[in-house]
Amino acid sequence: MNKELKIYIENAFKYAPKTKKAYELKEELLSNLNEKYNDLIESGYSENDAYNNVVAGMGEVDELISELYQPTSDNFELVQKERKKSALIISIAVMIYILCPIPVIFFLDAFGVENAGILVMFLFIATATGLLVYRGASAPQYVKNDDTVVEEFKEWKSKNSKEDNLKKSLLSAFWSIIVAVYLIISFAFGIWAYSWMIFIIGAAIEQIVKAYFEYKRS
Amino acid sequence: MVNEGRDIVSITSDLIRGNTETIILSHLIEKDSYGYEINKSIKKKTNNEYELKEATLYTAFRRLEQGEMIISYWGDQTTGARRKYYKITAFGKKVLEQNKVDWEEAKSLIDSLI
Repeated sequence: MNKELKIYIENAFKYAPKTKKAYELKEELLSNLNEKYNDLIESGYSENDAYNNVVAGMGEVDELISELYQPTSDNFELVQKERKKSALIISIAVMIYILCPIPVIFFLDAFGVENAGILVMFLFIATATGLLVYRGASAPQYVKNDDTVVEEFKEWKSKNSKEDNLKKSLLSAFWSIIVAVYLIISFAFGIWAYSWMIFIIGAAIEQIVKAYFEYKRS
Repeated sequence: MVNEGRDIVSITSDLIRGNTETIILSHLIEKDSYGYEINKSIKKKTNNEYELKEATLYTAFRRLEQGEMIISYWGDQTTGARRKYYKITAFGKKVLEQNKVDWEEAKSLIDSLI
């Protein structure tokens, strides 16, 4: 195998993505170019002329390599799958939130006990919140392809949106806790006339926390 | 005069480049083959006048493979580097037939225009 040719191809593939596809293309190119080189040598070319001939005949190899970056259909399917998974998790979590008052009503009606129902309700809320936080934390992150500014920007954006996802999950947890506290206080003390104020307090707390994070970021 | 000659060559190479995929398919319908072998055959059939650039050739392979007109497999060379062979699919054969019909139509159309 011609060493210079190998070095030339290695260099051309320096910034190619580290994928099986890229390695296979490199191997394919190398074996074909090498065969061409050997044929030229056999037909009487000097090593130098043969090398130059092979390199000149390649054309825009960069274009060939840049195509390796284009998302393949596999990749697209993977993204779709992740999206579906994420939607499923959200739907289940929301369903659990909606169903969480049922144990309270059920235990109260069937056995006349309040505490057991509230305990189960909290378990429901914890499960749903756990699901949402898991979704926020496990969403696939964009991994940069190369060291260009555009790629860095994409990664930065992805990181930020991941932070946003976490924030959204925590916020929804916060609001479900507010609802839980509202129900517990109201049932336990029978102060339905005043207990709704907790929603106003909740909104105020949310705004204060948001303002604090904005302040910290800037 | 030299310029005129070059223009004719560039029309031909444009046409060849524009039909790279069909050319590859019609080579593969005879037998499974690999990049360099196809290029060698093109060179031979055109009396050493034309040869595809590797970049053009392998880009066309990728496109054909994505379009499921060809499939690839690695050869079992015992000496030297492995070769990647390509095989035409049933769909590829259909596309080739259609492209040949299209080409005949285009040929007679251009003939009537120039």
